[in-house]
Amino acid sequence: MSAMLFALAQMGAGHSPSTGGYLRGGYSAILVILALYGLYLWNRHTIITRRNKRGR
Amino acid sequence: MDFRKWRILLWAIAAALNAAGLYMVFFFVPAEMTMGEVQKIFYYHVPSAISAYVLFALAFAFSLLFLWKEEPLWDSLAHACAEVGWVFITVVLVTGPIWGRAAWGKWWVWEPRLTTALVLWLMYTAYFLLRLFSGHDARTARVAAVMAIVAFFDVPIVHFAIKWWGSIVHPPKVSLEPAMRLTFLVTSAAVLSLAAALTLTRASLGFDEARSLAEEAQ
Repeated sequence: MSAMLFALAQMGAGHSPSTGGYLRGGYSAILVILALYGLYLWNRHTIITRRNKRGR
Repeated sequence: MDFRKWRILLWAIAAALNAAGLYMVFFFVPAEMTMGEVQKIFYYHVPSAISAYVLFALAFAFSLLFLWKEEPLWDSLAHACAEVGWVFITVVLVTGPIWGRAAWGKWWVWEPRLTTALVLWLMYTAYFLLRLFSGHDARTARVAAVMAIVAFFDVPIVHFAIKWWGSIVHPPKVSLEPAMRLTFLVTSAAVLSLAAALTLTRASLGFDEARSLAEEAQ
């Protein structure tokens, strides 16, 4: 999904050579922040699941 | 508490709206005349700020409820809202300078809105550091609730900073042509639904973690 959105951002940003790089940078930054937060949530989920399994 | 159905529904809505929003940003809406393509950062920058404001307001309300009722549910909800709000204010503080570099030629200007937004980010960062290093006890939860209440008072300051002190970079009012307004409405709905989906996911994790810790303690 992230790769798809990144490709979309690259295609769209390609319309303007002047500030398109910054637009691409901006949307890539959003994707990176959200992906990092998603990883953090996934990691917490894994820890909780592992703890529950151990508890049982 | 099981929010599974709501979570799936919210994630489906968020995915559909974000796909539509991104399509509109990159292929439908025209570029702004003076700033060019980079102005399109606006369509996720401003809704991210709105989402952060809403989530910090919810964290404020849930923190008040926690101090009043002393039920862990409210603390867990406040924590989830503050955390996702922090993610969105981070998006604002990262995309703003990228837009600013292209539009004003500078990454950062110490003007009222940027400065107060940075202070807001620092206050919620302090909130997380407190929660991270002080454990899961009731006293930490009470201190964190007070911090979330105090930090929220910066939200109206960030919002009204331009009106009160003026700004060299942020216009006091933005007028949008119909295509831009429509795109802004779709991306606002997209970002708000994403914020709701993330908050619900984070809140469910918080409940699972509390349950798991309680079982482990028994």
